[in-house]
Amino acid sequence: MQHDRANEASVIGPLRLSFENSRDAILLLESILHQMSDAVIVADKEHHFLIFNRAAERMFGVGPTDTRAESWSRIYGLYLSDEGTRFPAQDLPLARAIRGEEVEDVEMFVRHDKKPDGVWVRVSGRPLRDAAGELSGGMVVCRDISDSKKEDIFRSGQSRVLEMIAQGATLSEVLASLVTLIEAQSHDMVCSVVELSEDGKYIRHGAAPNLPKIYVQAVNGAPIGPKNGSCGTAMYRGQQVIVTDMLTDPLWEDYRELAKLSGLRACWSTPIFSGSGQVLGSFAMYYRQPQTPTGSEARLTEVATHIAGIAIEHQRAANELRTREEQLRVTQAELAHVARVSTMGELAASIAHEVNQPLGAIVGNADICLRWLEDSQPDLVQLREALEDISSDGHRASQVVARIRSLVKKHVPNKLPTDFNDVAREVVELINHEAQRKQVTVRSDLATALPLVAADRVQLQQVLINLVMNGMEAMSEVENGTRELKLETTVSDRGVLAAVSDRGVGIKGTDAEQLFKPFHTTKTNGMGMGLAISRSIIESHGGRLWAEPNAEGGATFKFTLPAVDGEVQ
Amino acid sequence: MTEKPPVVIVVDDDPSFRNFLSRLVQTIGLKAVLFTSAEEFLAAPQPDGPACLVLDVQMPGLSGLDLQRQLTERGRPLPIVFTTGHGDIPMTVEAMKAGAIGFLSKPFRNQEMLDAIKEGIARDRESRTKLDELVELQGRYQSLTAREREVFALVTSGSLNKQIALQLGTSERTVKAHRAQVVQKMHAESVADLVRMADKLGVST
Repeated sequence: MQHDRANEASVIGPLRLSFENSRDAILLLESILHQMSDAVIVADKEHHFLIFNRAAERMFGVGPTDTRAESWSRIYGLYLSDEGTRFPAQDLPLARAIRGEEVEDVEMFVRHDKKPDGVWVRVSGRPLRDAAGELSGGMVVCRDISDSKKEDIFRSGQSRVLEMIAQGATLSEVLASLVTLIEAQSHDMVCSVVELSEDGKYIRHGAAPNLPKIYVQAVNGAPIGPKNGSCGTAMYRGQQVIVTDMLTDPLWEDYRELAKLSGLRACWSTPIFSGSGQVLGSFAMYYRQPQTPTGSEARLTEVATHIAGIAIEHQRAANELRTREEQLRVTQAELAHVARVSTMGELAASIAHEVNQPLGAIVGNADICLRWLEDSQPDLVQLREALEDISSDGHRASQVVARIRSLVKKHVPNKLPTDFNDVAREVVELINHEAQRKQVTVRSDLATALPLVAADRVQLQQVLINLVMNGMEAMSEVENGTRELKLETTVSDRGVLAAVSDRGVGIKGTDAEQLFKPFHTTKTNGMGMGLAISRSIIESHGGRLWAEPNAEGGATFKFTLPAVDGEVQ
Repeated sequence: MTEKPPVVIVVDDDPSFRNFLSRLVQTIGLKAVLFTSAEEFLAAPQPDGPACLVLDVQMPGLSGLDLQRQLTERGRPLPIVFTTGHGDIPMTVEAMKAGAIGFLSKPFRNQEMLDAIKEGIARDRESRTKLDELVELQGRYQSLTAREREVFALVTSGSLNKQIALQLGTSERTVKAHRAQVVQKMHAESVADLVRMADKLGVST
């Protein structure tokens, strides 16, 4: 005690305060305690409050009570930082201090009748000891940190909204979160964000989760102008418009009834600008009573318009990108179609052969039947056989035509689980006659049990036809040697690997990658688009297409296609 | 000598088309022999009666034009009617130059095909007859003695008996006897007849 006193005296000493008159000292200390803005509470080890200053009464709503720590959280409205869980009695800073702990910077949320919005408090505690050094109680000092805490929460709210933008949430979701965040910062205030239509003439609804529906609907699509409410005028002027009373302000003349119906009185609207200074929309604060800005809203407005600007600009950029992508996709599809048709042109002789083969038999057989029918007693057995042949040849011809049609018609890519071997077989049939014409032997070596790939059949046929035709072309320049084209499929680690090998002129001297550049061609009448298109098709299937020289001469074109999920372990 | 019945030889890789052609030639009472490839046809015994080939130009392996070339090289060119699903002009020209009867694009009119086949068989029959006659003639010529062949050559080149006797260093009478033998052995009815035979045999001097 002696020692403590000496310490205290060394602090108080310079004030030359007389401790002989202890009453004066107590009065002075009391007066200081009550002047403090921090709450100070002292209790003995039996949890009886010894000191409970005015700041503490304001902070906790109730003065000192004669209860044990177990009841404090309930009586004083003490919560953990989730704002909902009662602060556990044994963890209360004062209870810990009384137990002898030094407590530093514990955050606590306090909410009671007198502070319905709650107060954020940072608490430090110290144990008290008597002259013998025995624990005699504890004290806490509590500081109201609501302002900085709310600021933290507001900032993290802003980060969340920005994150939503970055993660590609829809504009209406982003704006609704933004509006909710701003509204949470102030009482009695409702917010909205509207967009300016891209032609710069109309208001387009953005987000207003707490404005009356009828009001939101009426504003959506309304024109902007010099006298068009707060938002319409703000966007027209490119300046903030403060309307303190919508029922009297001339800007609201045309919308007065709507304002009355919606129960809105004040509306302050601030334009939202793009980075380049173009008006994108407007942010508005509404009140149900006439209201003049107090100055504290300026920062909220600044944050709201800034973030809304980012969100709208981001959305417009994304839309533009999507439109461009769509255009690109359409162009690619058209190019692919042109390439398919031109490939079909190259195959015309073979196609004609394939169709005319059955047609020749059909026409001939039909003539024979007609001749037989002129007999008085035609041989019905013979007639039937001939008609059966006509029928089956007819089907054959129509299959050929269907196969070609599917390749030539305009085509919307559609990926379905596909056995790539089927595609390979169809292609071999299509190019069979072309191979005969060019005196090329086509060998196919197809793996059994290929995993299914998500594929657009027509597009993959196109790629394969292209590679096969290229291979045959390459071999037509080779005078002697085997004109053999090999088509292989194998199971690869992630799906299917297909390879088309020729014994042609090969790719020596040429950079293999050069082949895939648009308009690269070695043919006299080629467009040079075949391989470029083929590669873009394979890549759109998630695969890869490349070329390798063969050891025994010629080139091999290989491509991969990933298996449909779960097909390959 | 009775002629073997004529046959139509069909070489086409398309079974349905082979069946059709077989059915078609039956309508004019002809028999068709069917082959799926040129190689298969070449390996089979050659026809012993008049024949006409109906060939698909585009077949796996040996093409129709290749087969035509090979037959010509073997010295037994058969009349050929080509069929094609899709013919181009150079191909047609090559085939016609090599002696094809026709080049029919599928689909064609049956009558066109039948006409071509009939013409082919007629041509083959004719060349066959010529060949038979020549063989017969050669047989007769072989039966002549050396002296008779000399007389045959001189007679057919227009020499008078007297000239022949002088040239061969014999009497005119002996020449007459030889000449009578030649006429008889060659079954000739006149000197003009003998001249024609010499022409066919290629023995005129």
